[in-house]
Amino acid sequence: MGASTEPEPARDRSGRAGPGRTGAAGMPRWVIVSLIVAAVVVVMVVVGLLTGGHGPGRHAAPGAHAVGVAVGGPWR
Amino acid sequence: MMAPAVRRLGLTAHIVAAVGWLGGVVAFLALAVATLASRDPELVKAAYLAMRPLGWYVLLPLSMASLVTGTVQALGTAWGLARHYWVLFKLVINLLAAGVLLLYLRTLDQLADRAVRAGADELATLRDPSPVIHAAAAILVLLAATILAVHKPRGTVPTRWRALRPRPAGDAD
Repeated sequence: MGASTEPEPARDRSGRAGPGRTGAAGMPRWVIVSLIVAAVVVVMVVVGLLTGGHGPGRHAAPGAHAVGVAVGGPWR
Repeated sequence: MMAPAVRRLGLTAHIVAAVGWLGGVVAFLALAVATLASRDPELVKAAYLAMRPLGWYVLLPLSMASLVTGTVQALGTAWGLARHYWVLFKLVINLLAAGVLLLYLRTLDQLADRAVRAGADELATLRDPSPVIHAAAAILVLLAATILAVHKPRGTVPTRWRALRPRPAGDAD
């Protein structure tokens, strides 16, 4: 997630994006599109979790209970 | 602000961790595909068993290293942690990906345990598309983070939204 050693672009120092690149809330268009995509993904994951089609529990054998994280480590 | 030499060292560490994480996930995907594609029960079992230490000892440490080095790099430079959208997005991506990985390690343990117990005639029960789906999704989000780091798209977070105070400009690197 790191920042770079490259100098910060001068266009960003003003804190203003250029014409045609901002939405109604003043956000750049790429931010708005990314947020919409992220929201769709989150909704899909939540629906999957709620319907039981997703999540670690579905891999457990009947009657079995995972202790992996609690015990820790792969060499069990 | 960090000294230039320290900054370059931190950036190198962050790139190594982030790219290593991505490479580790690609290796994980190869093993996951093998569990679905191979007709050799021993290879399928071995792939599940190999995915477990890969997750615990490669992916998890690299994800944490990427998170720590990236945070230090952002806070130690004028980019800031919550000043630019691209840095903020990378932070969120890193946090979410590391969190999902941490949760998914439990599933990996279960899959590996099941592979250990399974007989040679139980190959069909071992096959699970979950590792392929998770690895493919991880590659997509890590590629997105890499693209953000390379292109650094414009856009600053409004000051009133920032949890961290803006840093003075001047040595923005």
